[in-house]
Amino acid sequence: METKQLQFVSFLLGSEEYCVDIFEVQEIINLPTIKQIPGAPSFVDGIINLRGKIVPIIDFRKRLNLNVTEFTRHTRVVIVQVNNRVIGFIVDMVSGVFKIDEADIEVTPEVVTSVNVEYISGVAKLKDRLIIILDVDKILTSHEQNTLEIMKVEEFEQVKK
Amino acid sequence: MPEEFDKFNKDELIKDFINESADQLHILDNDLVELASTRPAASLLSTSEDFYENEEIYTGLLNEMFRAVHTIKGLSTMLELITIKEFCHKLENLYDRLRTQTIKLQEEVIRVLFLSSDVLKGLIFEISTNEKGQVDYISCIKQIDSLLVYEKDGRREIAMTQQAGCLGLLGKAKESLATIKTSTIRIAIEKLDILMNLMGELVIRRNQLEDTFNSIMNKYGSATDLVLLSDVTEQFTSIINELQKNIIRSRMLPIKNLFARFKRPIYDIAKSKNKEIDLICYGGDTELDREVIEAIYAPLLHLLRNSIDHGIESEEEREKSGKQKKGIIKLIAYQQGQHVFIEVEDDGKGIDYNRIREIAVEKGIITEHDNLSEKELLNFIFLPGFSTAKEIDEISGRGVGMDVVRNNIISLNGNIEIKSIYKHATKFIIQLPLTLAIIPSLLVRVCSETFAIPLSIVSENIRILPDEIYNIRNSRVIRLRDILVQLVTLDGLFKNRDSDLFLKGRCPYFCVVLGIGERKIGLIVDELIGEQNIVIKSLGEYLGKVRGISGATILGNGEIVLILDINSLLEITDTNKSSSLRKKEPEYIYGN
Repeated sequence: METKQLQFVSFLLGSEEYCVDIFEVQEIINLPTIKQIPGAPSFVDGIINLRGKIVPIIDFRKRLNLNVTEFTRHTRVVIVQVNNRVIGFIVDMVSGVFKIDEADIEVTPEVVTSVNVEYISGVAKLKDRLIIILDVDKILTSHEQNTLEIMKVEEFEQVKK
Repeated sequence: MPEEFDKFNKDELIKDFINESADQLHILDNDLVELASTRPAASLLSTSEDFYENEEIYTGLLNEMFRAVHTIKGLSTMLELITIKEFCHKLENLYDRLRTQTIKLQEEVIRVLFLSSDVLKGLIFEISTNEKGQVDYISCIKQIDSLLVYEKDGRREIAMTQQAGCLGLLGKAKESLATIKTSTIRIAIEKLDILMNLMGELVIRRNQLEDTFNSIMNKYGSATDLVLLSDVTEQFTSIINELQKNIIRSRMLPIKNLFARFKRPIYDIAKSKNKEIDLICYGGDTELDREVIEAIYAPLLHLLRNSIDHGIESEEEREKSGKQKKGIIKLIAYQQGQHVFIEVEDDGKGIDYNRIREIAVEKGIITEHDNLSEKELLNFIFLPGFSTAKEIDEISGRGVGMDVVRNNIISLNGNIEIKSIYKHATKFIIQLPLTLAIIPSLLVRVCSETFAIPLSIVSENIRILPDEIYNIRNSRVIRLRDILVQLVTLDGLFKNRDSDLFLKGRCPYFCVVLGIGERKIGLIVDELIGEQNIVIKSLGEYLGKVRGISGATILGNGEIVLILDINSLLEITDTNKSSSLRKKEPEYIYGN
């Protein structure tokens, strides 16, 4: 019986190692010039010009309440696309790409970590270590207020009972 | 991953279903309204001479409506949407009996037809939002059933066969007319979006090419090779310009489709207010970018609601003032230069300036002694929570509408104006850009940051000396010809920025006067950089709305420049409204 194999990109945030599903990763770039936006939340570092497209840069370290260290020559920006949103997040170092069987992923809430359990979608058990799998979608959508006004509803007014 | 592929496919199919059904529903609705307003005499089989004329209209409409329901039935069958399919089947029966005249078109039938249309809309909307079970279609089906149980009248059957021949011919003629295909093609809007983006990039590169070329020319103007380069560059830029123009045009649709969508809502609203309204549209062929059309639907609908609710008087009042019983609302669209104008005009009771004054005084915005012009009074209508309606009713009058309308129009880089003659007419004039993607803008520098301001709201640029500034209740204003203009700086917007330019005392101050409708505010900047056509890039799905910023653009050198959001600037000044409108001589205080 074949088990599904999944692939992840792992990186360092502060001193801890995390990873994300490789299908969500669009590309990994060097640290670019980030344009600050005055009114944005504090964990949004700003926006960048990615080949003509505006991409917001989130500092996951701030968002996940981790230690924020200085940028080094290893610092990278991982561009991800989740639910039609393209964002980039800063990591201190990209450590690699790995494949594991689906069976080796545990959905465990008992992992002791500084990251809010809500943002974790599981733990990858490698031969020598455990790597926390981040749920990028959750990180992006929690605490968000939907400011869109649904104007189209006017067109489809439902029959009241 | 076959399952994922299937899901992707199904989502696409559902999207298509909803789009196609929406089209059919529009046809159904428009025809319903026509049917209800021009319905032939109760007994179609009377022997009047204009029998055939009415007949043609009647049958034509019903055939079209039958086909619309039939199409939706077919679409829903393909996707195994059983509830919708069965509902359509019932409705189809009703339309079939109507068009073959085995059922008379009476008030009750018309009511059920309207109800069915709404129920069908609701069922389809449920599919798009994935919330099933909200719409009560069962009671509607029962009502349709009770109509279908119609005793066949023997005499009617005979008369039917006599007319059948002519009806058949008329029917066929209408069918063949209906199937003439226009030379158009359906295209997913995302494909055009991609083209627009690429074109935006081209525009940026073209600007860069021009800049680079000019600087080379300045250094080595006379070299012969450069003459050749000059030719090529010129042709290149002119082709890009043409491409830009045509890609923008490919996304444009005639506005008459939008106007048609208002028929049914207006009918419903008017009915609920016991008023009769004639909607007259002009300029339906005027074209607008599809995105702009979608975005302007809700604001226009709100304006129309207001017209019916508060503009058009009741029949008795109208008769008393010598107007015709039916209220007239005109929707007029036309293009002028780089803008499209849409006017909403009604021949109702106009705006009561005195009443506005009263309410403004009541709300403490002005005092009884303030002397304001009609233009200035009109601006109050756009204040949040301001409404002259004595009771707040369900549809409008809550006073939350007009400010949202104005904000929406401004976010489209448009503008709105009101004109009114008390007791006679009211007109809203909306100005919209031809495209949302590229706008002419003014680049300014504030402290060390560059910002872009859409040129559509820039009224003028002036220089101010300190002694021209008056301080009124914590607000700085200047007198610009005959009105007072409130001054704002960006530090009010971005609280953590040290940009209170007044403190720096660098005079004269550069001031960009922004005008929205009759409202003017003055933005203090450090430097005017220049005008430039910029490609608007949204901040992306994630950031969504950031206070003070409506988007960003990328200059030719790759630099990102933020575009100022005028709504936020207005918000700051709205809270200081009380001070900026006094016409009487202010206290002279301010000195640097």
